[in-house]
Amino acid sequence: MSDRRLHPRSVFLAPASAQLRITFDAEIEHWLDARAVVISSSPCTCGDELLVHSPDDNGQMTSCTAKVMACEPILGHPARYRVSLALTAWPAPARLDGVPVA
Amino acid sequence: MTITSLTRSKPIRIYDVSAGGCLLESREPLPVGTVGLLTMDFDGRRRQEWIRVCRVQADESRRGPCLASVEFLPLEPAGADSIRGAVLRLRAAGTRSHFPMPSGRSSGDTGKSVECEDAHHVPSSPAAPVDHEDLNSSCIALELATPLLSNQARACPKPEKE
Repeated sequence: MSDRRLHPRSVFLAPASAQLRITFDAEIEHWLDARAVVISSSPCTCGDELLVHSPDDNGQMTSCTAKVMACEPILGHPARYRVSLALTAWPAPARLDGVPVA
Repeated sequence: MTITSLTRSKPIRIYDVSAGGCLLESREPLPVGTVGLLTMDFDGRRRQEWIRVCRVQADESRRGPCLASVEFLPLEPAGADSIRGAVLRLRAAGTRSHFPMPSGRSSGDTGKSVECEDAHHVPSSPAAPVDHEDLNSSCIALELATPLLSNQARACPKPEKE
């Protein structure tokens, strides 16, 4: 028996709208001003808006928004992707859950 | 080499919820094992929960929506802004009339559950999304969500013990 009967569930009469934020790691290959190129294990769609979290020179986590300009696969195993990003907002301190501090 | 993390936000729809997880629909594929932060308006306020995808069923053509059973990750106590906390509190508050406790398995049932005899109708195709202000007004159905997933739903691989 698995652990799938632990909790009774309730069904929505109609589906409820929600947002799912998925975070994945990437390596920064190149970052100059408002342009960045990262290597990711997850493909991105051109035009996608992403939140980019990265440590600054002081080790503090910063967050900024970026738009996917291009995504091309890198041959090899496992599959990886080179993602070109255009930063649309400059880095700001980020909370642990990735949400930029207002 | 500098490691960064990228966060992508995608709209989803939720069909059922429990204190342990929920069943959701995404227009894009969600691989098993995907971890993310779920945000929804629930019981009158915005709530969040970290989730992990346990089982998925995508359309065979890979063009249709993806149904995914997800579990809540108890990374921290169920606070005021957590979904599982809201479910637990509402159940504990004596809202039995709004929270029927049907027999059967949790989200992602593979078809072996016993359906309630008074279950009226389970929509075979999702209805238009409706925003609910209150769980009590939206969560009064007795239906089980079992028909939403077929027997072909993939099981969640158990993590190996170290």
